[in-house]
Amino acid sequence: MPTSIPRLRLLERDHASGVLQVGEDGALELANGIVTHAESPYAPAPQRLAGSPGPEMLALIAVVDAAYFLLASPAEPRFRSGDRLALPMPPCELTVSTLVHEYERRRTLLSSRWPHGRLDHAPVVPVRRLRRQRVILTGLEAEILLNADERRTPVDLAHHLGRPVFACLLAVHDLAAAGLVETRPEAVPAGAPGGTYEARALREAASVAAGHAAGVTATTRTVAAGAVVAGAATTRPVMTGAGTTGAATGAEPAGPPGQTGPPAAGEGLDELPTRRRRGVEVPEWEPPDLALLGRLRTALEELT
Amino acid sequence: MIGIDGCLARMMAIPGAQGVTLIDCASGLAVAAAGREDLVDQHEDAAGSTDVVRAVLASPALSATRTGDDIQEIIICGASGYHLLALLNEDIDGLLCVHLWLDRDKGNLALARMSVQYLMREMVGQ
Repeated sequence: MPTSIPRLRLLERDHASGVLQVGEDGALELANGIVTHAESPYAPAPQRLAGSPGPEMLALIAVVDAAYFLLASPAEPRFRSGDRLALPMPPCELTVSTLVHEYERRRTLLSSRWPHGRLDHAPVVPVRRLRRQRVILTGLEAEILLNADERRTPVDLAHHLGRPVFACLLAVHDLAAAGLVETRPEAVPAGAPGGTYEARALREAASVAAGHAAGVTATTRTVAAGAVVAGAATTRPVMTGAGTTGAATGAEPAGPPGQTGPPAAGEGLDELPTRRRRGVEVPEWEPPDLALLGRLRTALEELT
Repeated sequence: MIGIDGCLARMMAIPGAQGVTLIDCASGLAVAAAGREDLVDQHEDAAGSTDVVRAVLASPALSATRTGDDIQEIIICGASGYHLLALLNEDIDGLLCVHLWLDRDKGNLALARMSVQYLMREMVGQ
């Protein structure tokens, strides 16, 4: 559990000055109970951020960006009274309550966009094909897609692009909500990079997934799967349930014979590896174009 | 080049100005604020304004070109006040935005638009 927030509140109350070291996840500097600097290896340093909106503003953006990881860190914080962080940027002044408020707002925002914890730590993988005529992206979303090489995580991309990590996380969540990056759960890599934040988060995600698979939280799982399917339906047609399958079989076979519909959101984990294990070359399932099928059916009905 | 606080102070000197917030739209963070905060505080202001900016940027209906226009300003005219969202994205990575709230009777929208554009360029030293 994060322990930095209660500790920071105490330091604020005591008007403490010094450095709060949060394990290997970074450190915050306080002066008279006010946060003046923050750094984390996950967030690009202000001098690495692109653009030139003035060092004052970059320092603030970078501090809040770093604090997002520091306040979420489960590491036990240690306070070195009177110490300073040797940073080349001008200090900013942020009250602890402002920082906590901003941290909580950001967490809520990310989960409201596309509640998929793995997106934050896994490599960003753009989808191979789009079933859409047109896509509108923000500049940052385009940068993410152009620079995603299926290995870089959102944190890596933020460093690569010189962007605040939170902005990149938000963009990746929005891209996922738009169906432009893969959100399929994958196996946890054995040697996860970094060994700290990412590895821990991956383990957490894996244990949550395992709990779901074991049916421990069956209700949650159903709800989560429903949410994912509902979200996907807004971006591209996905066949689920008997209703849509019936509609499709009324017109044309949707895919190669013997191939069933798509793996439901919760089953994707098992479905694809199994197929690969059998050593049979099965073409990757493409969602059928429901609009096209509908038009075909109408045309066929008119013929008869 | 003027500092952030100096810039906000000069924006508050625009006739009719009730409140002004400088927002990092990439994250929805209130970078600085001046003036009234009795309706919403600067953090709510930043979060709400960012939602509007993002909605406009994401909407093909609000673009004048096929590839998506660069949005410069978003203006809301209420019966009691104007809200001016001025975006600064030329030559700047990321997205900064100023939200200026003007009184409807005392404010002059055209004057405020020109002043805000000028002051934002001053602030980032362009």
